[in-house]
Amino acid sequence: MANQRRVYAVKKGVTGPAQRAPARESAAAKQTPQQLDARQERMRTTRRRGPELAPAKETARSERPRQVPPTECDDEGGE
Amino acid sequence: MASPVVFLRNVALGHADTGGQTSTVGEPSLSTLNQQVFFTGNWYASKSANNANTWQFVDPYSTLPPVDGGFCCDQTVIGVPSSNLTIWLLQYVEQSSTNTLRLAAHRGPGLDNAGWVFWDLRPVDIDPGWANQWFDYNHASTSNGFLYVGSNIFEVGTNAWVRSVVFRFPLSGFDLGATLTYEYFETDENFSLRCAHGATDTMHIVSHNTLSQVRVYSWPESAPDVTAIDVDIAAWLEGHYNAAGPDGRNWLSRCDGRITGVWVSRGELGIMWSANRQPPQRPLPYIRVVRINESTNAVIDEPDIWSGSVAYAYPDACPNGNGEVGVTLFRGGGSSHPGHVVGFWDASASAWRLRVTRNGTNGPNDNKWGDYLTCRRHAPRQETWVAAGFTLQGGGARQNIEPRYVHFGRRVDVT
Repeated sequence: MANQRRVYAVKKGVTGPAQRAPARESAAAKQTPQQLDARQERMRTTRRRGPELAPAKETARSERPRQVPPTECDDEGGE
Repeated sequence: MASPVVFLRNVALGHADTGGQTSTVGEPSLSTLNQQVFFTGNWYASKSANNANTWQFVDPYSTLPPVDGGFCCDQTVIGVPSSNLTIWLLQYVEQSSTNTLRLAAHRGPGLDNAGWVFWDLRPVDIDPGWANQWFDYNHASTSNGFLYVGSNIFEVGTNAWVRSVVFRFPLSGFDLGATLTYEYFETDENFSLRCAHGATDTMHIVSHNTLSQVRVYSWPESAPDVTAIDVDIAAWLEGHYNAAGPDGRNWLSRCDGRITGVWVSRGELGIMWSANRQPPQRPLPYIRVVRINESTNAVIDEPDIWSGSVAYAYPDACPNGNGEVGVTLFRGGGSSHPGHVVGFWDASASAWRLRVTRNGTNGPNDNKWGDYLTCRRHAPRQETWVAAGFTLQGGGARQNIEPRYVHFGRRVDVT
């Protein structure tokens, strides 16, 4: 472990007043299957990510997980 | 021998239940409150008043009035049994250089439309310095007295990551018509903060520092500040994930190493995420697991979930009311199409016990899958868990997605 505790300031805020949902849905906003197909098409195969993680440093722990045996998984079951 | 994982319910949601608004990037989430189940996917929601026997489609595009460019995606729901609350997070499409993360709440049973009240969060309203930024990839968790909501914030236009943020809201503040007070902390050092399930008086929040170190943030309910400590772990690899199934579809094309499952239970903090292959010890993508002593921050062990013949990815985990840890994840690749799996950590044997809920018949035509699964403690049966998953059945298009509600437990607890 590398270790000294870092401290992060907590800030405060307040939302606007609560809004209440209408009893009936808004018809205007409904999506068609074609619109959803287009959304699926536009979706990227790579997600938005943060910066690339720095390379690993070998630690005293590096080999220990390797000793874990493969995980067994029971096959499909019904309800 | 009978599986140690028992299904109390393992049911599919049909086309009408989701309004046909499924995507292969399924992102299912759920909450339970007695007989009531609220289940969401990336673009649909559905509710059941009778323990998942029948469902009623709830349209996230139109149940609540649209804002910004309209409803987008990334829904999360979580139940708060102690407050009789169902919380629903919805993300809206960026427009005019901002977007909205909506926090909706419903108290009591029924989930009738008019019973939802909601509050909108926009980056620029939280901090004027967050102008031209937008929320993405949200999640929720609770402690004794707070709801926590985490999100990543990106710059409009470049879509470059700017900061990660976690908000907390007093559960006592969810009153009709009232404003919500909140506290938050932010960091531009750690991407995709993840809050623990099972927290009581201290929330733990985790992210990667490097490929061999995690940062554990701690936020006591009574504390004015968040503190963090760094913990070394065994090295792992990220990069481009690939685990093509029998049809050649790489269902892991969107997968990355962000932390997706965190729990705290019995003085232990557990962390899990999808790691890339690292042959010869890990020939396929797998679930990296680290367990840390909550008091000393010493690593207890690193019981990865892995196989030499099939990849595992997209885990979430949650302790039940007895402190046992349940898990949900996908498996696939090689001779297997993406399938949905649940299970638990068997502390007596120091081993994961897993069971497939449904094998898929196809991989996604466009190689898009993810981005998360959800595991929650069942309410009121606190010794059991519920999980939301999905598979493809009969084809590889978004219309072939079959969402799945699974209520499960340990055989020793439920039979």
